[in-house]
Amino acid sequence: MRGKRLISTVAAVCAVTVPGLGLAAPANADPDTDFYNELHTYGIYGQKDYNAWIGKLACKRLWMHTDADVYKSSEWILKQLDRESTTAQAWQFLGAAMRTYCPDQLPLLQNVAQPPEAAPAAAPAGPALPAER
Amino acid sequence: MLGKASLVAAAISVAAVSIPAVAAADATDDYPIPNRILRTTCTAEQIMAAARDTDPVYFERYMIDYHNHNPDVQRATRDKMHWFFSMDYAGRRQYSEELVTSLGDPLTGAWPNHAKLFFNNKGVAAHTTDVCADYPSDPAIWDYPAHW
Repeated sequence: MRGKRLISTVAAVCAVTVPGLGLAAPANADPDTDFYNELHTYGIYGQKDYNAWIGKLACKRLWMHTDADVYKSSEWILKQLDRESTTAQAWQFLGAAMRTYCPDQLPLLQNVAQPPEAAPAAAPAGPALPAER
Repeated sequence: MLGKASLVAAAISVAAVSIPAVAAADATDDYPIPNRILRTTCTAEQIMAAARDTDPVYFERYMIDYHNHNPDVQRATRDKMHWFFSMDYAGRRQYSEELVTSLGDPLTGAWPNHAKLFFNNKGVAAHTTDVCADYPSDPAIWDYPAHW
């Protein structure tokens, strides 16, 4: 379970940091077209209208707290994509959707992409050593 | 002239042959209401909540359509779905028969697609009835906002 979440976190980091690739494409007046083009850079195809629906609904589910967090969002997105789609593509889809349709929600994605803080050093257990007395 | 008359007669007799085929479109255990819907123990609200997750675009379009109708039609839709899912299999099967043979009720006239989310698509019915028991029966699902 922990390993699965670690993989998801790595994928989330990619979703946040990789979009430079997508931004290189010329921006269109139609956000659905920009979204569609960005998805192509991740190897995600399918119908433009359908993908736009799913992207917008992913945002709606976060606004409405239907999905409690971005892990749930990416799980839901993966179920809506082609069966051959990967977990990484689901995170990339989510990142693109949030940048396109709900940038106000991006901190949720950035938070899970932060590297975990180093745990504080544990205090030594057992009786004090002679040198410590 | 006679040739034309023969063609007309032939056309009429072909039509006569095809009419019984149309009339023979009786209800089955899977038509017009999918078998999964006839047999599920879920409520309308549980099926809707499941559809929100399994067939989100289909669900979204239905809810937009629902909110585009006046409150009387919305209430009648809710009541009809509650009535339908309160029945056992035999009652639902009987209603499925009536759907084929009747000309429809006033609600169907006001909103022909009022049951679309539940009755019209076997694939959606299969997806929703697979998981609907995992969802609460929350009437708030009818207030699902019709915008993203």
